[in-house]
Amino acid sequence: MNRPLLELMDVHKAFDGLGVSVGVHMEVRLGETHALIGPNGAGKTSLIDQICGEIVPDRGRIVLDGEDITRLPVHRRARLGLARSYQITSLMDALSVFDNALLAVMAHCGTPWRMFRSARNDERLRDAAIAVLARVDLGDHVEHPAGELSHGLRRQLELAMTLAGHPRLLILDEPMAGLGPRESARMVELLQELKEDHSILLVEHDMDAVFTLADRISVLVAGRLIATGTPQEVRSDREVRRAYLGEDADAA
Amino acid sequence: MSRILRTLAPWLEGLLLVLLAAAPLLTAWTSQPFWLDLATRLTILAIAAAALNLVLGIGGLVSFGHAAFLGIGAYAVGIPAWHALYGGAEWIASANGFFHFALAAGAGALFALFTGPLALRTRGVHFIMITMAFGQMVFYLLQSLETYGGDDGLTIDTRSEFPLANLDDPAQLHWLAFATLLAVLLLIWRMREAPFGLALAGARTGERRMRALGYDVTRIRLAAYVLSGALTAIAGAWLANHAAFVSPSMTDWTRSGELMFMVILGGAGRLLGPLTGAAAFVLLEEVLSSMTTYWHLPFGLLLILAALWQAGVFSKEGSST
Repeated sequence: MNRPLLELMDVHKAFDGLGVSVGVHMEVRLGETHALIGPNGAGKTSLIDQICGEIVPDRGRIVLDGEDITRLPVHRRARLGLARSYQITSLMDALSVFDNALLAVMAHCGTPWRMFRSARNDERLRDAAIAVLARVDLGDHVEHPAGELSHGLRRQLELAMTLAGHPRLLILDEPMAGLGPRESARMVELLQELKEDHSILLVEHDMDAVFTLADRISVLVAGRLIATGTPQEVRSDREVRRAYLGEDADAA
Repeated sequence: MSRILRTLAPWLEGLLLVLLAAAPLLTAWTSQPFWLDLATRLTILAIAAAALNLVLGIGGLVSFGHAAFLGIGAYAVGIPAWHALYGGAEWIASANGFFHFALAAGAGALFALFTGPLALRTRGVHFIMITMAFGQMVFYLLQSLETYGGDDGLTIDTRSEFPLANLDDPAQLHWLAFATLLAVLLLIWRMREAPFGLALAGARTGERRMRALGYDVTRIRLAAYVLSGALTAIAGAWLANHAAFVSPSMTDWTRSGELMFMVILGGAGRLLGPLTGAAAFVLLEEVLSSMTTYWHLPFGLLLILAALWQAGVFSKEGSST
């Protein structure tokens, strides 16, 4: 099997004595789509926040491709190739769709310190931004403020922006949340394409999507990782069934 | 109403620029030198407001301490000029205008560079409070400078000296200040379109996403803050030359508030907004203070109305952006 791309080693984090991560060991391998599932409040988003640097763990190490990133700030991790989408879509709402894409492209061209030459007229940046938008069918909305897009389109734009920098690891926090059945199907299709040439860490409640997309699944319950394995292994794991799948089957 | 204003504003602002450019000629022609004084004050305040607009309007950083930079710039003219005339402190004594303005910009940038990293660790109300605190720090520091007049301030007996120009001539001073305003507006216009300005605006409206994309948001903001500090200090240097007087009251927090009002009145983030804001401020101050000694009251009420109107309180659909 492939070498590990992201490793969590004994990661601990507590808020006011409540453990949101309790000795988590996890590994995302190069090229795999790894789903992280668990009931609400299990600490999935907190774990992702620690991977991306918005929260610093109390204990333990986080390693990306052999490099210890436990203490690096968010933007440095992003430059090392961690790209993330948020559970609640996070865009530059007051700026146009095009400017959002432009900023995503610019982030990886090392040009934010240019003060005089226009960014929008720079052909290299512009072509790249247009390509980013075309990938998620947002070509018709370039001039709209990002804040005025429909929920589904916002999700797609955010995904497009995370892809702009050709990340080493895509971290997607509930990309289907709030999407209608048709939009969800479209998102699954999109992720299936992405999965071909990306390593993905996917947090998702939609079990159909998870079992369709994931190569391996980790199950988090109350801050503890209780199982990791292929979809078949996880599906038949007794502890998982008791702690999660059984009682949550109707909620999905 | 707001749509009419929005289409009209660029024309009015263009007209205002033309009027400011022609002010020395117009006032000489109508023999009303007082109006030139007003036009110069407007021009200089517009420089400061444009500099504040950079961080407040584009960057979304509500700095409530920008008057400190005005004071720093003003004293960067006052102190060297005083020593040039009365001796002492030879390392700083100079009547040279290039030295004065370079010192103003440098000191402003340096102050921003030291206070910025601390202030930028905070957000929202805390950022307002800490920038205000730094501003007051400068206020009390200047007040304690007994050599330079302390509380009473310092009269500048010789204005900054430039080759080929004489700042004692109000028309020349006006034109040079106006040229500075144009240069600052040009700089901000280019910057807004450039990657740096876009990144600064991006951090205003989506800080979290910008960090997740890999932007060092704090450094981008610090750079904008330093640039803004230097430009505001240059406005302060003009203010000192215009009034031929500097005093700690230039750095009072109410002065910071006035700069903020100009930016907000003209529409935060708009390129020529600070021009409108400064014009409205100077004219209102002039008109109202000639009518009543209690002019601050109607002035304050008008500002409140303007702020509420801009926040969309009077529009039908309620608040909007």
